[in-house]
Amino acid sequence: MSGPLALAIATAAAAAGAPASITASMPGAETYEHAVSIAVPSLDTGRGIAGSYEHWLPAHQLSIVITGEVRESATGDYTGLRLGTGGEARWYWRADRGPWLSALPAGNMAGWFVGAGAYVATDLTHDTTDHKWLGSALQLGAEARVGYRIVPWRQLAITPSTGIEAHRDLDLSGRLPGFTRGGLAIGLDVGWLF
Amino acid sequence: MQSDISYDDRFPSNVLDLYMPPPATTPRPAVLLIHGGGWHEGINRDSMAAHAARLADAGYVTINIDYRLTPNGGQFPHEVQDCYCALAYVRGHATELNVDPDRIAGLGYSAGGHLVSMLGTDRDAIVQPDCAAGPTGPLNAVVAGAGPQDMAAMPEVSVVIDFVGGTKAAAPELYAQASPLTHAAPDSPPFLFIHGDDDWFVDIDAQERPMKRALDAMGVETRLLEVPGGGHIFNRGADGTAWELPLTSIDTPESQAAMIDFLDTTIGPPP
Repeated sequence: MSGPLALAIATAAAAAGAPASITASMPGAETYEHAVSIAVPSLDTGRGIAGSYEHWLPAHQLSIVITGEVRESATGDYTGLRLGTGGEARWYWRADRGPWLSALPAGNMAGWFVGAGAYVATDLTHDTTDHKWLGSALQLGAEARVGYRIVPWRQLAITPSTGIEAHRDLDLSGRLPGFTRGGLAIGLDVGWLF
Repeated sequence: MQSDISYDDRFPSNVLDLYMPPPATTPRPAVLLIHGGGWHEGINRDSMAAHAARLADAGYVTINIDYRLTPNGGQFPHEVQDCYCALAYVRGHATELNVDPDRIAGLGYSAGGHLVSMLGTDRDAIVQPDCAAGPTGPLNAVVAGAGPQDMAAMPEVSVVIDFVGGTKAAAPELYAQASPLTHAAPDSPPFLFIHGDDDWFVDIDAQERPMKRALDAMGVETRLLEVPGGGHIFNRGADGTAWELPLTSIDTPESQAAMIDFLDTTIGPPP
């Protein structure tokens, strides 16, 4: 990067309030190494949230994602609490090119990606009428997805994705046998790169 | 599993699969499974097969049925009659199946939730079966997943019109007759309703909640499990960051736990 151009970008970034963690790990590109996101589906009525932290490994065009979830999973005459966590590896295979619909230069975790991950969650269910716990369940899952991260403004990241997932539900009370199912997964994250 | 058992040989569609738990020395409770699909051709009992196998592993004799569908003979009241006929068949074969005929619950989703609710509430001769198995009494407990309870409050879409047999304006009496809400009575069996609160097709405010209120007012034992954010065929996925489809409200771990507890406390646990 030429000196005047680097100075101009640094000045613009500072004026825009960009954080200090910008590095220049790829030639000609400012790279944000971290992202935090909220999963929009987790906000779809009810109380709870799912979010993620993503760490960028630009030399390999890979990122590591750690997710967490806590939400109310049953209401009415019952209450349910769900806690979950997971991990995912993503490959932004075109990160070395300037992504479409992105305010960021090449070298960032933006644009197309494919990912694969696993997760674990537990569900606790309570009958509020008879005041009794109905037990707990464990879900073990794996998924593969493809997505496209848009960065329309500064470091704002909007990330739709789709893929397939399979999970095994285990009733820890032993009353029901294990149950495996799969389906189409549709995700939408909103986050911030820094 | 014994598959493709005819429960009404007048209609090739009317077959059931029988899932038997391990042998027992005393009669066992049973669960009749009724699939959804908008009362219309396209979805069959395969959609409930996983539930059937799981409940059989939990000790219940499980009967997973097909029935006539629109546009091939399923128009109201035929689908209700077919389901009643399957229930009559099970009760008629209770001895050989080692089933307690007074401990049979129904589990259905969507249109199947409507049909099990009809089998729980309706004693009107109009929907009693005219098959060889003969008439029978209502179910002993009902688990209704996202089941229409008031047909007049459903969106006026083709699957509803085709099932009921006309528009609301043209056939209001049929909409009333086809609605479990019309038939709710103090002697109705216990009901467990399971419903996603983001279901735009079968609206919980127009269907399950009014039905629960009506049954509660009559002193009938009811439970309602609402799945926050649950739609008709999608829910927040198992990993929490995505929507998953197909994933219905009766598939969630909370619903499974509530369902088993409800069955155990209403028709009794398996021996």
